[in-house]
Amino acid sequence: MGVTVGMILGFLGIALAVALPGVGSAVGVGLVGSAGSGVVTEDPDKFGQILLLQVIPGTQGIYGLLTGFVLMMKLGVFSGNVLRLTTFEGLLVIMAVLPIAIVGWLSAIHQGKVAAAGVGVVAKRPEELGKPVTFAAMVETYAVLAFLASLLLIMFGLPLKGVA
Amino acid sequence: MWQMLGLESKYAYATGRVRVLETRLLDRGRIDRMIDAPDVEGALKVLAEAGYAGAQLSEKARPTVDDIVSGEEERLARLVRETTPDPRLMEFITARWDFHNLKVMLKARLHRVPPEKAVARHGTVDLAVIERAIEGETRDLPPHLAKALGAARAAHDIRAVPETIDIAVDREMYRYLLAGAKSLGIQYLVDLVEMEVDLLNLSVFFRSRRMGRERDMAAEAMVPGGKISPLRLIACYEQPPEAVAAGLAGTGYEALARRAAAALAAGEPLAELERLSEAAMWEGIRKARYVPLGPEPLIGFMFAKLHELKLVRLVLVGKISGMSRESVRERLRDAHV
Repeated sequence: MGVTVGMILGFLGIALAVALPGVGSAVGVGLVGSAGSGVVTEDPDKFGQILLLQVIPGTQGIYGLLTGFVLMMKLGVFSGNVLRLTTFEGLLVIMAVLPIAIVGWLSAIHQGKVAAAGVGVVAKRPEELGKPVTFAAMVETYAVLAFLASLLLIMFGLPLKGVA
Repeated sequence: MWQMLGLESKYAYATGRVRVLETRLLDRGRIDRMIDAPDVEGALKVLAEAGYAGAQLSEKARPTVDDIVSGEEERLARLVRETTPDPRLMEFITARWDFHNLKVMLKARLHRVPPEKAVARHGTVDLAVIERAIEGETRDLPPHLAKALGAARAAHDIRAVPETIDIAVDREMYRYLLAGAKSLGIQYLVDLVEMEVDLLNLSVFFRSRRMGRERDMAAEAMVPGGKISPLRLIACYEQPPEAVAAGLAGTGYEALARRAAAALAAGEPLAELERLSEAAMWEGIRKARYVPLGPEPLIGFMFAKLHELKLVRLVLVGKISGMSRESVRERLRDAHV
């Protein structure tokens, strides 16, 4: 059983779905972590509130991983019988993961910036934590929409049959 | 992607620390409590509450003003050193101290005044190196200070008054700081240094007119490099006061010039000019408060803390010398709140 170009494209799709939002989340979480470390250096009591802000940009990485898992199931990776995709099917897989790959990547970075700015709010007015959390959560909307789009495309929009 | 983040990610840690430290800056209320304290100990207590480690009262001896201010300067320098990813930013604090020490020691040498009390303790250049340079051995003196020393000596040779040393050293200092700010590529810092230069020149302009000085003498005291060229200011020098604001149209300092010109025309003190200059400077510094991430919060804090230390010195010296509350209050300007 040889490897088809479609299989390579399919695996590339999985890699994109997992890697790009993952990198974005790592950058976003790192940014909030750096700002948060600065606050905690001066005021260790704020650790809990800052941790809450720090996890927010991490969700895109989870969406990307979930998308990757669903795609792996669809391609039969877990059953050990990987579907031998045609080139066009491989391209369709890539198209299907693009929403979460691109939006997940960029939105995580921007959400990280918003959450890191929120760290400044917590530093000065810890009682106002809800407001920076809400601002950061607004960015999440677009990551969720992209995740849904990719998921629906993979589950219902990919008529994968492969080649014999 | 890294370009997308740029300085924001590099200064994230610094921004976090500064956001907490900003809450500990002395606000108007604390400054008022210091002024209204019945004695120096009361004022020191307010400082100790605000986190001034050097202001803690012990049974042995009362801390001196220099100890308190110097301790805080050291803390500020340590903060910048620990948080900035670009060590050149440190220069914006330490270079001021080095230039200040050069001025103080040169004036002390040429006018035979003891310098010990007035020197800044945390400059990067050893006082002995400055001392030797003043004696003629400039090998160990950094080039920017050596240049300032040469300029100050030359100016003092022409007119042997301490003021000429201040003018020549300040001119070199701002030239050095402006070049440094531009090389760092942080526009906020460039804007602040340019604003310092502009406000200094405006002060020279109005004070020279009040003292009836010659136009050339005023021009010599001005520093180039700000947003308003000294040539433009000097062009207005002999105009009637009411025409000065018109001459500065479009510079952003018209209102300040108008009020100062009115005071000049009415023969009133120029205290209003000083107050408006401080207000303009704070307006510039406060812009950092609306920058969520980046070098601006750290730079804004540096300027704010240095200003706060000036206020603290003013209040404590006033208290120690027995000045009335009103006189101390009169000498104070708006605190960075």
